[in-house]
Amino acid sequence: MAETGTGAPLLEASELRKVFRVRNRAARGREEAVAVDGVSFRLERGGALAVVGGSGSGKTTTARMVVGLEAPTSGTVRVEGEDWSHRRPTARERRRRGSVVQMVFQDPYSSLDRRQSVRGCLEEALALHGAGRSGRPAARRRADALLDRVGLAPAHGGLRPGALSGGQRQRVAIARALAADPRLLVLDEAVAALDVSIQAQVLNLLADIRADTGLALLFVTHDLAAARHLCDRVLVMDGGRVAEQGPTDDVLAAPRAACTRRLIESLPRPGWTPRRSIGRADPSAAPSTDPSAGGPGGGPHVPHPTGIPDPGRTAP
Amino acid sequence: MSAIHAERVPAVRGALRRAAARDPLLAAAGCVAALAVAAAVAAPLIAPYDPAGVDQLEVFGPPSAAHWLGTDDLGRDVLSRIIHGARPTLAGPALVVLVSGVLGTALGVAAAWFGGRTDAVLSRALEVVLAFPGLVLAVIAAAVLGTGFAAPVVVLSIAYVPVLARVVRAAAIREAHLPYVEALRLQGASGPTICLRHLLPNLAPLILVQSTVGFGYALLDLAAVNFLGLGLQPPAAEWGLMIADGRSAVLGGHPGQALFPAAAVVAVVVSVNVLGERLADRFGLVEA
Repeated sequence: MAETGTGAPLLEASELRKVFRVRNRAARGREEAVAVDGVSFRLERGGALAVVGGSGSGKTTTARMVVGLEAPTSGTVRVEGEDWSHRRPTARERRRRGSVVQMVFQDPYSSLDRRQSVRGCLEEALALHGAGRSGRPAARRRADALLDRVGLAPAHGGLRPGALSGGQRQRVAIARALAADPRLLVLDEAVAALDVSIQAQVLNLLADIRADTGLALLFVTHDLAAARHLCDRVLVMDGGRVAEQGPTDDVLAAPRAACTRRLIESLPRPGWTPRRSIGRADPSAAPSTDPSAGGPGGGPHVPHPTGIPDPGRTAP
Repeated sequence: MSAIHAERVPAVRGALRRAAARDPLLAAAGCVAALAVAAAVAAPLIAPYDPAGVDQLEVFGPPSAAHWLGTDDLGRDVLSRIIHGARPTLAGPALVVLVSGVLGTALGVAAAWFGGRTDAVLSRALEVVLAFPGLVLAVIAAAVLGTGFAAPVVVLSIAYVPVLARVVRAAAIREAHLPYVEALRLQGASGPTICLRHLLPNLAPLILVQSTVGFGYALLDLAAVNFLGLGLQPPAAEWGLMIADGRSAVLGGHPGQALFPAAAVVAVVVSVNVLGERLADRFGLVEA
């Protein structure tokens, strides 16, 4: 959905480059590891861009540079036209940026403070973004509203992360990100650590939120099926460079880069089947896959329109 | 009043008995520690005699109904002296652990949080302090500051800082690299907020366990300082000092004066170590 925003795009990365200096004791010196090498892309308001690649392709480093957790070695990140790539923002500056861009991390187990209740976590995030002191009724109401937004009950608010499942924790992480009312949500492999069926639920939740609020998504993943479900544009990375980018359907239908084809072929077939096969062993699941799907036959590699179970129809 | 007690005592007793059956070592350690603390707190109420009450007719009295642990070379009641001695013997290490705990935690978290040059400077400074054994420092302090209760406590408080600071620093570095800290930074939480509201509560179990173990070491060190005559001076009642006073009597065939305070030191230190170990198990920490 290339809806052209007024003036500058929401996010514009140009020629991003990140070099990590690695100490190498054996070689008696420093080695340089180029993680990201000249990556450029833009993301319009309300858009959804998937950054796809195998491990070590630099996609996570790219996402971390976008949110400011890593400073680019060279190149710029512009958010709403403003250059964000200068180093070391103050807390006040981070708070201002946080109200524009938020992030959900890969590991739902370590991305929440294990000694803080869910409500405490949300109220703290709300308080940082001008929703009043935590513990007040207003903050409590807003925290409950956030819980509701991500499909959790107010009763979950009193629990600590240890009492929640992985999927529930990731919902809390999403709620915490939404507390800042951002315009862009960066998801770093945000569903990779979850069970397949839970992945689908969380992806559906994200799709719903995007549809309701016009929240833009930068979705870092190695899973093309998930990317296809959530994003209208895809950027494929390989070895720190952009292999190709374009509308998701076009890229999947006619991949130009070899690494894109590899990613498509690496998709686990059961993940491509509709949800009804997810339950107990469904004999039709495995053979239903077109044997030519991975081949060069062009055409749709994807038997199901989204490659992922239907959004609305959940609950087996 | 007594009716309430009559109902409660069996319930409490039952709970204690079950706890003791589950972990007898922990129960014993808890009892010893509780006894020692009770003795220190309520010494004047519990002690049967004046700890300084000299009685020339009762020199080196054997344990008896009147003097359960006998009397010493000046005819003072050993039990009363142990009970009164619990005060300086336990208050010293408690102060050492408190002061070094606060300083060590602050320095460890600061080194971990700021990293880079701050971490390098703090870590080297801590290593320099660590290079001096606490006892050696205490001896120097006695030479410079004179003897008494305060000097060894102050010096050991400083000497114990690096031990805790290094453990806290390592744990805080691990903690600070967890994604939830990055999430808080992205939210715009300030460094002090993250450290005080998130890092410290997560480090608290480790600090508690380390302090418990440190208490045992500090007690031994302070008792040694007093034994060497560099701390409290006679006629004060303190366990290390009592052992020193009773040294010569051991050869004279009256081991009680040194033996009973020594047993008290050993019992308390072992108990405190058991408590620390059990706490570490409870919190899922591997003791450093």
